[in-house]
Amino acid sequence: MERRVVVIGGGGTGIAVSYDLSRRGFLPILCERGELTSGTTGRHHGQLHCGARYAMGDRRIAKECMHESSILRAIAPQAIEYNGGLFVSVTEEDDGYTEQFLDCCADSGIPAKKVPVLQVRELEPAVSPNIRSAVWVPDGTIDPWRLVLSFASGAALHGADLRPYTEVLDIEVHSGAVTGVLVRNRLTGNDERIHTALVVNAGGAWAGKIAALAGIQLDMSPSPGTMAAVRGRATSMVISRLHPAGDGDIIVPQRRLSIIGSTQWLAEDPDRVRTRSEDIPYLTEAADMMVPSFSSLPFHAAWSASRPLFGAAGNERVRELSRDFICINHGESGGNRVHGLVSIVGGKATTLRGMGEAAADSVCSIIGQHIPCSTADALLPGHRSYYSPGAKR
Amino acid sequence: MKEYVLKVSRSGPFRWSKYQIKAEETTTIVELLEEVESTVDPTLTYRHSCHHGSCGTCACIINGKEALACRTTVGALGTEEITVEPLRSFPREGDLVAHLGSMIRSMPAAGSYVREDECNRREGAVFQRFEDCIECGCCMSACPVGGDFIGPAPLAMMNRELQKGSKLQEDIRSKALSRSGAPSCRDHFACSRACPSYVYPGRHIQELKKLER
Repeated sequence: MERRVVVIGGGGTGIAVSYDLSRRGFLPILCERGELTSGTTGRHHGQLHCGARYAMGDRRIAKECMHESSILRAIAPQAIEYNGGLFVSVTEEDDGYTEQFLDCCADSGIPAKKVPVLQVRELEPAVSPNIRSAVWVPDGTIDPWRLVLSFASGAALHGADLRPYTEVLDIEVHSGAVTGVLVRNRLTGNDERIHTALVVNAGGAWAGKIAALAGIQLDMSPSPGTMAAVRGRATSMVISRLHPAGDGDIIVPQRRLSIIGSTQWLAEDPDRVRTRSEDIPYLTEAADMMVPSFSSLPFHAAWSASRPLFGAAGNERVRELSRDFICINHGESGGNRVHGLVSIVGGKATTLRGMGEAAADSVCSIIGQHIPCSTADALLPGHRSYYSPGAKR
Repeated sequence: MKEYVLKVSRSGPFRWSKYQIKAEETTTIVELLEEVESTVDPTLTYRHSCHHGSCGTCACIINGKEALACRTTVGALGTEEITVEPLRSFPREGDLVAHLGSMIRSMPAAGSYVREDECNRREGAVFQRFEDCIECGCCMSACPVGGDFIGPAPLAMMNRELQKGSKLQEDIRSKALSRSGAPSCRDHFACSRACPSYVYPGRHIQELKKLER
């Protein structure tokens, strides 16, 4: 069987793809132009999504998040604080939303439950005394760097060749099929041609640029948002606003920090995104509606990350683009077909393992072999194993 | 917007690259590096991931002091010329890319991982919290003690593990109190001053020194 697969992109997706492929007996070579997780995954606010945020809009994504977050809690406990989450309603408008929200969570298999308002203040004293209702959900906090490095450790220990600082310059296509990739080692400046018949594009917000190297048009909408962190842990649970998804409606505790996320706009080029410092007052005010002490905590940092949304949309409709992931076998669909090329796009940090499974399934179907996925019930090594001598790093 | 000169130490034969760049006071050094890489010099290599001081990857030496590039703003530095160098005491892989393997491998196996039995608040609460150490290497770079000294970050982590009642007590204790462990510390406290994550490794090392061998 063809065992070599070049995986492009060293964020959560590409690393999970490499891990899955390596466990199925493939020899993935992962090429990432910078440090691992230097694109979007690492800058994630850290919410382990149980899916409740999506239950009203898209039950399939909600179910998927519930399924994947349960798996991550089991296979990577060292990178997750499982403290649960609270959705709180703060205005009259939010009120009407509560019962519907509970129904949708139930339909999505999310064990959400109403928490009496008085009990909320006992659990999380910093939550606003003015909240009108609250719902507990199985959310948590991820340490994105450590989670992804755990997947990287697992991949390396199963023989994957992880190459940070390796930029893909070209994807070579002959007679409608992938034949290799041209890469540059940015640490040495040396170029190398890697022969391969199988390439997985896991470029996240950059996936459109990568697909273009193979002559494929892939519409991506890099959609950055500003996040702000304050020093001090306002709450230990993830606090979300109980209303339709919008800006500044999630507070995620991480270490001794509290993070408020996020705004959202559309970027033309994910390499030219400026953090909008003008968003910070808006965000901290929105946080104060849920946790009134938030804006009085010392400011720690503000930054932005580009969501890897699949599809084309105008700026005003970017929130309507799905957070679902999609796996495209370019040998089977699209106008310009390239055999041996798979793109895995969209999705979110919580669904990284599932994205790895979907892309590896697609690679197996290309070579006509059924090899089952084994990543859902195997405990991942800790993030520090990435530096163990056996992991080639 | 003001104009700054970013002076970056490059790997290979000794040299500096200077970049003239406009920035706002709130712009961070990691944002400057990104700007240089995407617009002026695509050969520049550096580490970064979370951009908010939680992953520890972007630690380097800025204007002579260990710091996280993502939490250092040009306004806070207050200089028109900004120098950036890789951490000391680690092998160098790229311009600002230090390989932290030696430090990581000195850390106890399950050290700093979230455990089910951890409580971080009032009695009866079962909330978990990640440990403060982000394994950035700032303290290791700032520590003036060389040789085979294990270094501040692993020793601080060992002390935390002993406090938390790690199952590997004896093993950790004997490493922490060995000749290359806490007894080699010369009480400079450069580690505590350099730590961007409020771990104060120097205090942990002092606590280890008080343990009986």
